Amino acid sequence: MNDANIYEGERLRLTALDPVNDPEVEAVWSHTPDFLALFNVELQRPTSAHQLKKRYEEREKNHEDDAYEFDLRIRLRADDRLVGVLVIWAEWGAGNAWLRLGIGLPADRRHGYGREALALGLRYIFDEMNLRRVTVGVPGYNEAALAFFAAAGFKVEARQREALFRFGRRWDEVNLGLLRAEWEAAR
Amino acid sequence: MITFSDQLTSDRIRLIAIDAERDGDLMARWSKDAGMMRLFDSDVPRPRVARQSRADTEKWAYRDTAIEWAIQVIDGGAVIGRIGLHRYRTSHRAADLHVGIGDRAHWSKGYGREAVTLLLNHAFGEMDLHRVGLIVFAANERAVALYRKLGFVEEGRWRQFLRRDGADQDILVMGLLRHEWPPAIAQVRRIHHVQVCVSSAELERARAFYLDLLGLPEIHKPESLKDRGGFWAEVGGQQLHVSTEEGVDRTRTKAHVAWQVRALPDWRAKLEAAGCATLDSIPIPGYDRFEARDPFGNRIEFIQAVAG
Repeated sequence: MNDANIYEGERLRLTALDPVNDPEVEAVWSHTPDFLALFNVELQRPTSAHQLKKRYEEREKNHEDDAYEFDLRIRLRADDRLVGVLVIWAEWGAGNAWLRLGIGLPADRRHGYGREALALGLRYIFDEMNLRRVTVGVPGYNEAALAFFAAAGFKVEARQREALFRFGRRWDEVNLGLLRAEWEAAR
Repeated sequence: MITFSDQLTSDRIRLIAIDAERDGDLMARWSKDAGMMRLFDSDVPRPRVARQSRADTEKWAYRDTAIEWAIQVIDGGAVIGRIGLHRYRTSHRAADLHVGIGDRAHWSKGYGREAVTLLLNHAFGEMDLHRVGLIVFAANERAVALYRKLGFVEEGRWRQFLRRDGADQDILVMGLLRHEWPPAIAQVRRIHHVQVCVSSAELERARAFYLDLLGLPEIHKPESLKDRGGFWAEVGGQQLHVSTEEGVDRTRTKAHVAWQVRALPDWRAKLEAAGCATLDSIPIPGYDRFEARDPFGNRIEFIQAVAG
């Protein structure tokens, strides 16, 4: 039997959301404009820890999305500090996973955390969830993310023209996809 | 025809509010057709009972990010499918379209195309969206052809997105931008009136023919036009203007107006009894028709839609 801890990488650990303590950190992120623009295409707003807590409490009452949504947090193994978010949304019927990944503070970027967290996420998707492919939707203005996913083996599959409005103009939303066979080849 | 002011109504269908009870029951009925359901959803088709479908309908159709209508055939009132927008992103002024005609008996009649046209007019005209996107199984050729015809542009494909019957299937991503859709506001709404002419000496006989014999209600002409002779009448919500013109042989042109009626044979008998010769028109599918000339030479066609 393989007893490797599939949630742990060299420096990082994937964990559950901590609805009591994480909101304090995430509220700070939500006031960091570029995090909002990079992580999520939805319109964002500065959000208080209190609002986030209430949102998470509501969600806990409403368990029905649990089979589909895996809302994980990325923490440093060394001191358990929360550094990012990894969300996997499973389309079980099709065998596809939607993935979103974000490192919260600018100071925590460019340390390879994103790459390590993505590797953990992909292993979970393919080896545990037994899904067949992964899709991401990246705003056209996020060149770093486009390069990041391309470097991980994702291929540009669709360009939803002018689907987004941000920074005063329209942008495409780019879909990149990674098939199981491509992931295995790059492993 | 679809007009800007009646965006959610066409000649044959209208988009009406979702009713969780009515539409949940219908969804449950449609869910028993697995072959059809797999065209709409990558999820494994499951037959549902009405109680489940009602709950699903409550959950999905009443959300802020989704707007959903039932598709109703005006003639008879049957609800035949659902259409809506999901992933409605207000700040981006973009949303995705989904549509399904649930009852196979209503396929291939153009209802889907009509419903999507109504929705696009609403999305671009009323909601002022910049973009409407959609995804469709690449293997669903009829749907892909319809979207292409309506102007959707293929923007890419999610490779091997699902696996069915032992084969991988792609999903096509398509999109339509506001400037690629003829703006609803620029559409001609409808014909307002047609004019036919008689000589001024025949004007009283023309009144007798159109108002008395054919029974058209007279519309009072504006004061500013009263002195010019002629009269106006209502024809099925539009107007017929009878005016005067001298020295023209109206029997020499085949230009005409066609009136859609019920009880076509009665109209023919009425005209023949009044001394107007009638003539069978060349048959066209879906309609019975004949033609005649009014006593002053203007050709008129009478046409009636027939079932089947």
